[in-house]
Amino acid sequence: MVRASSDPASLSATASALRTLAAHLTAAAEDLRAPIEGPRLSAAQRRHVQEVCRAAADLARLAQHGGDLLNHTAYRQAREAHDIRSLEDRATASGLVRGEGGYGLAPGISGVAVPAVVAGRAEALAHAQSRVDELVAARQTADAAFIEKLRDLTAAATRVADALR
Amino acid sequence: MPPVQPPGPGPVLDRLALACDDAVDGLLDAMPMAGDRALQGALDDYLDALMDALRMLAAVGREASAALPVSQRRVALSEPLPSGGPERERSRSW
Repeated sequence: MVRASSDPASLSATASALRTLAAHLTAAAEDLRAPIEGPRLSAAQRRHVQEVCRAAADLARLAQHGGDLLNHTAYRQAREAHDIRSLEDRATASGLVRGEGGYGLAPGISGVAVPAVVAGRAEALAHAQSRVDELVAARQTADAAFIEKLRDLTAAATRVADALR
Repeated sequence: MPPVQPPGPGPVLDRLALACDDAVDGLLDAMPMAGDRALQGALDDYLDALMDALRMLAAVGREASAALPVSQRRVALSEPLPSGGPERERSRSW
């Protein structure tokens, strides 16, 4: 259930680096726009500078979007981890254990067979399993969207690099 | 007093190339962990593509800077920046 290899803090740090990069590229693109109209550059030089300016602006957008996406994902993963821990705490308190296939009743004799207690535990089990299914489905949807957006950004960055070659 | 001419793009291009180099170094040092293989693969691909584009931008920026007239580069580097308010000055400090 918990992502063993995810680290929201590392995503957040990378997001911060990408946003800083985006700010630098944006500033450079703005600075490059100013002198292009000046009379001291030849047409070929102006075109060259314009090409760099456009690429800097494009990469700034891609870095900003990537940073926003990573930051959002870091927050989402941290929230997921919190939700899962809360669910596990509640399940444990209800006498449930988590196994390979999901939650189940703790093995052994846990007390007298009071119908209300048995029914309460069964209800807790159903609720825990339903909540697990909900969290997994939400995570799969969000992960798929994350991958798709990253692929779009990757393709766009590749286009920028190819245009500069 | 002679009017202050705007600096040429030479210093901006040079700073841009350095910023791209720094960004690539920073991204190479970063170890973002996204989760399972599919997520990590997509993230690594994005960062690789971005770094590739940044390397290209740095190279093209240096090329464009080198192609500028030497006199203009010297003027641009020695003349004071035009006054453009705090926002403009901050944007030049990157």
